[in-house]
Amino acid sequence: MIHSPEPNTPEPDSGKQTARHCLAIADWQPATVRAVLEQARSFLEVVGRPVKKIPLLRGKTMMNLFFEPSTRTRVTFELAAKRLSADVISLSAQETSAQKGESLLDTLHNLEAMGIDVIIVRHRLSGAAAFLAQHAGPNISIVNAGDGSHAHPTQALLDCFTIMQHKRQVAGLVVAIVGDIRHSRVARSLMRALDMLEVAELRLCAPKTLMPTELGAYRAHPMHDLAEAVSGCDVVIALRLQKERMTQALLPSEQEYFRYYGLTRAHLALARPDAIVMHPGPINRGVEIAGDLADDPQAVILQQVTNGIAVRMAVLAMCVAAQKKVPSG
Amino acid sequence: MSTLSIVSGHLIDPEHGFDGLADIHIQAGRIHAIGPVPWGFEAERCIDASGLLVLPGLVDLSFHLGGGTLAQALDTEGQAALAGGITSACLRPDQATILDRPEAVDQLLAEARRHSAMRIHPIGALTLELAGERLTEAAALRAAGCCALSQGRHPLPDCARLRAALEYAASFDLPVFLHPKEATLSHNAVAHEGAMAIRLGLPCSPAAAESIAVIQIVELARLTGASVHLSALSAARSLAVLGFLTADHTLSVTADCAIHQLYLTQDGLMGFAVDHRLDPPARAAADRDSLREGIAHGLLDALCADHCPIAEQFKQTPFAQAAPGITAAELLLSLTWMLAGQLELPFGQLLAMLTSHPARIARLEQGHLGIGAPADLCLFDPSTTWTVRPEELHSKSHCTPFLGSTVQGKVMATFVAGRQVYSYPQGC
Repeated sequence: MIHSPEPNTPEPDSGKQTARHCLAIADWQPATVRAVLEQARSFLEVVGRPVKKIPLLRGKTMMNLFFEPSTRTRVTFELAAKRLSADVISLSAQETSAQKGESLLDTLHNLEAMGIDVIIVRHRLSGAAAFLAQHAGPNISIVNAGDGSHAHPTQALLDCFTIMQHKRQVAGLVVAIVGDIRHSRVARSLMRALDMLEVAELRLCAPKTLMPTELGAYRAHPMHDLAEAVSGCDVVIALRLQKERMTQALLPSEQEYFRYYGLTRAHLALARPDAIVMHPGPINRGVEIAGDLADDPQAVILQQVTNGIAVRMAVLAMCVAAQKKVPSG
Repeated sequence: MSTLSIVSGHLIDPEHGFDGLADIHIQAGRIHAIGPVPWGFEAERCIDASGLLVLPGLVDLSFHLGGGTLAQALDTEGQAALAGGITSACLRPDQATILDRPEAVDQLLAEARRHSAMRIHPIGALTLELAGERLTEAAALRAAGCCALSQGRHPLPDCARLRAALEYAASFDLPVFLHPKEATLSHNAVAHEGAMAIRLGLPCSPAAAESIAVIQIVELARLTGASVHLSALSAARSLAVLGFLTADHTLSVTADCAIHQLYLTQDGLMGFAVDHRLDPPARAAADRDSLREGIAHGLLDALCADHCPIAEQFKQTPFAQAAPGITAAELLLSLTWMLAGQLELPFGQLLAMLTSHPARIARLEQGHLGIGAPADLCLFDPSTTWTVRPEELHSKSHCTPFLGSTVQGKVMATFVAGRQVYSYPQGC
């Protein structure tokens, strides 16, 4: 009898509360997710201090390697590293040697030779961060800042953190994610994280063209009617809509999308009275969310941004602590 | 005139329905006699094949040499094929030099004579540069030695072009091998649209991209009267529509699938495993099981290795950028042997799908052990188990999802035209 082939998973962190890489929520144990969120709570206090710095990662070097444009994620990672006293270098696609045809593998080996401790990577290809982790030596951590449609684990963590700030815990809550689920790495990571934290019910709302064709891997209910999806919800999360969905003929127009899938105050009225509204940003006012709702006190979009710093501090601190101390060279 | 006898082996020749102990006698590169030594025959060499199966050399319908120089590729991949018992390989047209002109075919065959003991049967390109635009000179390609025409992995852009290509090939009685893949539904896809690819966020195409193409191809085969072979089927729906569309048995339409499709599913993608980057992709377990049923019920005519060695550098990239293909020739017979056991089918039934059936599809005289046939054969030890390790493989690529797996059965020796061209170190 044939032995089924072993998948080349990038170094399982199973059974431990700690992980050297942050590639996808699915790679982690629920205990790891909880530990990071717990740690982030104490870092949030640091972010609020007049002197916002602790010496935890002094002497460590982080590299922000962004092959795709980003403002929020890149800046909050940079701030997170600086709050932990690490040195940070940020490179964007235009500045990397990828422009000169250097392969991702060569880029990795060069950064390792420079003694970089953590690479924070965003890439248009799903699996790019896992690829770096598969080929990385023991003295380096890879943190995924978004890879293709696959994962955006720190966004999911900060979303869960924000939910827990307002609702104490995720367990028992009804959460709706509205928008382009099919192409969203945020949604994929969030579905995993919410599941690990024992969400009571997860609803997904989108037209069929923006919904994954199979949800077998997730414990979620697909829906096509927004009013139904938000009714009685504790948390409503809107996703950003890319303009290219119209040119790909997945949607007829932004107007029709807003009419049927744009979140408004009227929808919020159907949710629980203390419901919160979230969005990973950047928001398209009048497309996936009405402008007045985005500014409503029940919308916690800016708190998400602040929390992003604390959560990313916790992720960086954990990854560095989990590195095997093997002398390089 | 060299002569050879292989004695005491268990001979299986699906073409002639033979399955039993018999001696085989070879003269001048052809099978001279089976059974007792014929009068006047003297063997210069006699091989004792006790405990071994004596089989026709395998005929593979979809073989790729990979990159590198042609001489090197013919050498290493030829060795891999022979080590797997493959003696005739139909070469896909999408080689490093595309086989779209007679000169390219001439050059390939000249190099093959110098560097490979395996028989090479080129498949010419259906369109120039496989671009799907202009037809190739089909008659000239046939004259140069092409056994068929194919579009490789690049689907034709529309039905009008496919119709014309089939009509033109049929005018010269050339079979056309097609990978069914509807172009717009499979654009950029690197995985099967199922739970795993959706979870990993990989660009994917639904099984319908294949079954829709099967419908188009079979209906156009009916319209044009062309001989069509469907390569590398992977979806349950493909078999369902194929069975329905060919139920009247009036068409010359055949189909194969790659042996690995009978083992793998989309779940192998977990962790972005590049050794599961395949085209067509491994699909759901239900698809795999339907393919297995298709084998048992004769809906599929042939099995192939779908050997496609990819240089390390093209696999060492994020999954979606990795070139599709795995090294497979050396596992073909072992995996087929094991499959026969798992499906509880006579091995001879599956062996026909590796020998006489593909030979008939590609219109080759090989693939059987009839008197007067080319003496292409292999000796197979079904009792040997071995673990797939890089050092066991002759192919320059070691990328296979079966690496580290233990498989049953090993080719011990391979003969082409009566000449021994491979022997396993611990074998004969």
